[in-house]
Amino acid sequence: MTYERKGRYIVEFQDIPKARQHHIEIPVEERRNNYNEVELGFDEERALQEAKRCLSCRRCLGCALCWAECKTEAINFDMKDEYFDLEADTIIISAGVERPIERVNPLFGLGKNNNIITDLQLERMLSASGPSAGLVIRPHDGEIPASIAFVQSYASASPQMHRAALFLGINEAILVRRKLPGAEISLFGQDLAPFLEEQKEALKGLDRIEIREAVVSALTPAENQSLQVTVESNGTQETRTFDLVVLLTQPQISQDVKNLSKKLGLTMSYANFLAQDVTGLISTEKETLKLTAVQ
Amino acid sequence: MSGKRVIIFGGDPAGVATALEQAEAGMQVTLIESLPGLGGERIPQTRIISGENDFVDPNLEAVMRHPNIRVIDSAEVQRTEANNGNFRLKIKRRTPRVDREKCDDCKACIKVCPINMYDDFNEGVGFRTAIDFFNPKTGQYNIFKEDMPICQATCPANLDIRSYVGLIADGKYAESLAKIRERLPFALSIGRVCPHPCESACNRGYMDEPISICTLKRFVADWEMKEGIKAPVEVPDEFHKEKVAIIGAGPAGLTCGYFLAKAGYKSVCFEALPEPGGMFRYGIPEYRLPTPTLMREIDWICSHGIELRCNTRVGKDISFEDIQKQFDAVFLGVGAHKGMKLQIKGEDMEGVIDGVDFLRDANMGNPINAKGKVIIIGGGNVAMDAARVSWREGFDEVHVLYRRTKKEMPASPWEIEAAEHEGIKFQYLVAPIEVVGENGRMTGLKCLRMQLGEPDASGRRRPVPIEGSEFVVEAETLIPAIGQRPDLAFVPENSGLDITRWNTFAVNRANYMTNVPGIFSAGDVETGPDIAIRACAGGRKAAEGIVRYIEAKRGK
Ligand SMILES: Cc1cc2nc3c(=O)[nH]c(=O)nc-3n(C[C@H](O)[C@H](O)[C@H](O)COP(=O)(O)OP(=O)(O)OC[C@H]3O[C@@H](n4cnc5c(N)ncnc54)[C@H](O)[C@@H]3O)c2cc1C
Ligand code: SF4
Ligand code: SF4
Ligand code: SF4
Repeated sequence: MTYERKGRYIVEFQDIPKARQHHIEIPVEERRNNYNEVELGFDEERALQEAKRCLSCRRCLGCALCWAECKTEAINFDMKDEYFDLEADTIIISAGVERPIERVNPLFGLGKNNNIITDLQLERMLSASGPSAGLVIRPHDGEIPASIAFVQSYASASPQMHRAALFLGINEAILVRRKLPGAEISLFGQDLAPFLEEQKEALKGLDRIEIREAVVSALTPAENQSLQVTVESNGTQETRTFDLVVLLTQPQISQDVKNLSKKLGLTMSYANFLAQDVTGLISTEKETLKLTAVQ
Repeated sequence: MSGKRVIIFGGDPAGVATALEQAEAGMQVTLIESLPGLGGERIPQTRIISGENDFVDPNLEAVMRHPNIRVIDSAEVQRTEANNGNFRLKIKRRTPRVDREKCDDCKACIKVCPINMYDDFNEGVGFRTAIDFFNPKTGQYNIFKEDMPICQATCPANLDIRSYVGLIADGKYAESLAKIRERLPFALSIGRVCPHPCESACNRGYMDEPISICTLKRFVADWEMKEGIKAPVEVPDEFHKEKVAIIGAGPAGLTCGYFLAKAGYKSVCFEALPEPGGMFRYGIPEYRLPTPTLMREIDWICSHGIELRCNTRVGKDISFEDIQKQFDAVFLGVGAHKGMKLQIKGEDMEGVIDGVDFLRDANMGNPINAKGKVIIIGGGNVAMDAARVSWREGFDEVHVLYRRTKKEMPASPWEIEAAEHEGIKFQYLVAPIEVVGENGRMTGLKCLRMQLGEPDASGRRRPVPIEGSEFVVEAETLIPAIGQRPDLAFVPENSGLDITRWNTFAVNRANYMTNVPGIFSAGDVETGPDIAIRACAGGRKAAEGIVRYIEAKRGK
């Protein structure tokens, strides 16, 4: 990993989440019949704590340190944007995957506990070229998790989207199993029967992965930043502890593609791209516009 | 060239595979991707994996090599046109700022870049620098420089928040303060009173809670004050001969004078009231912004080259025409000080005092007859200030009446909360209809209960009276705080200045000049009652406009 330097503008991973610092205030009793200043701001310790929370968003400051360092003189701040005028006989659109976290039910606490991640984040972790070089770790402490729960984070979705979400989740579970042979792996979701029936053959060889029709009604912090998962199924309730929780999210067509198709006069949904068992090109209402199926 | 022209949007595995297929079939392919690079492994979501084909990994090498494929990454579609089944598109490719021909993938740049931010390409798992190579396999580097982060773009004065907060994190307080002062002279004051719209936009809010940007600004300013450090005054060695008149020593006027001085122009500031500061001094109460703190800041600002003439009301003590004759340019920053009337019967009785006048009296230390019960009308920050000041002055009971519910109240939530803590009582869905009294002195307020109806133009639900719900609240004092307007009595009839129907000056936002050449304006008198940082931002931009104006005139 290249992100090992510490110093200016650095947020330590353990520092997220970390609560905002509050200013110092004089008590209400000391305010009557006078105009003493009520808010006293930060002391140095609070100021430093708070300033370190800043993510220093959005790219380059223009400090030119990189420029000074680059031996091949490849860095050129004056490089201009380029414009292209293109003509085409056919346009083909590929969906791209977007799984907006705004759609995740806030009750699941994404962003409040480091060890709750999304399926997309796990996908990046599983990738050999990803941030952890293919290692599955708990973001909080970098430990290898001994138990992992996949949890459906949305209440309902169109059947195609639900299906795509389950494919991704189960495939990830399979990949995690290969990397962590000893780990306990469970997947909790709703409305699984049609999917399990359809994929019966493909799922045959599943290696100790529990797939269970259940609703997760609570995720509460447990010792060591692990999570207590409250599972309800068939009218019974059960609480189990997992080291890492992966939320299954709803795939959605990306905003870019939506905007583009609007400009081109197409009506589109993610289901277009997931058109059952199609490979190759999908026709649209416009002859010279096509979609490529998601792979 | 034979082959039809195909444009493919999306450099994900499906897009890349299609590009290769089409190119193999003899098409001329252009592959367009909005991210700075193609590819990235993906896990299939249309089938269960089984061994060999776990990841879909686009064959980037083949794409790069293929003579029929052109790739445009970092792309943004600017225009599309379709005719006769043909498409014409205009595409913008954001510059990578790294010459991919020259870059040898040594990563030296990444080791020194001070930026450390969430790795958005990796879904926030880990961090990256401002130099990214989203797909390490391609080694395509890219420096993404946006105009400004969201916090800075949201701040009306566009303060470089990221830099000054980062400098605080490094313990470099003086540098941080200098950074703030590049765009704002009022760090002590704004650090105390700003309602900080930047914080609502702050990206950290998506993770947990936004950065406390405003209080951090206050911290460095307080640090300088507490350490007894003399704030640096940096102005050019010599000033130009032209002089500028500033009318109104509020945040807008003083900020304008500060930046004029930095650019080498002296100014004279005419102020009607005994002390400078505008609403900072006479509106915002002491307990939020103590006068000694404010005066420290104003003294420092004026020491750059602003000559203050207090107790000088333009239109009374000196005429507007004289000022126009004596100065090369004029800045109007007179604010909005005239309280709006309730338009109900009995409003001129003794015991009724407008919110802004009441706060000015309190701020001047004038005696206030704080006995019995006071009613404040309104739901904005001025109403909150009037209520909290009333409580400090010693009224037995302080009531705030508001026509809608707490949810619709425009005051900042922390102000409402502080007022509640201090024991101020709120009555919602109540509207005043008549001030009642004896011998010209008020004894109570007749009110109606309201309910919320359909949303109005502002999107808030309109309050409608409930018939027969009249009742009288007994009170000795009534403070309407329902809004202010500029008082433009000082402007002579024949000035030719355009005045809007809100009683504000209309300016060209490019230079803040009014329709009369050489006369500029900003702050509440230009925007209508607003927040101080916007007045400061306007003052700075007007200073820039004035400098350009004078220089153009001199050049002639
Ligand atoms: C009670 C109250 C509380 C507020 N609280 C906040 C807050 O917490 N945070 C925030 O950001 N904003 C707050 N505001 C708004 C903020 O104070 C104003 O937006 C800001 O002060 C506007 O600056 P200005 O320079 O345009 O005008 P002003 O501050 O109003 O200054 C105008 C100056 O011009 C002078 N003047 C007027 N006419 C003449 C004349 N004819 N000749 C000479 N001088 C003249 C006035 O005396 C005054 O000093 C508050 C406003 C009020 C009324
Ligand atoms: S990796 Fe960075 S420092 Fe190295 S050659 Fe490329 S741009 Fe220059
Ligand atoms: S100039 Fe270079 S080193 Fe500095 S912030 Fe930008 S990318 Fe990083
Ligand atoms: S974390 Fe907030 S304050 Fe820091 S740069 Fe990002 S938006 Fe600005």
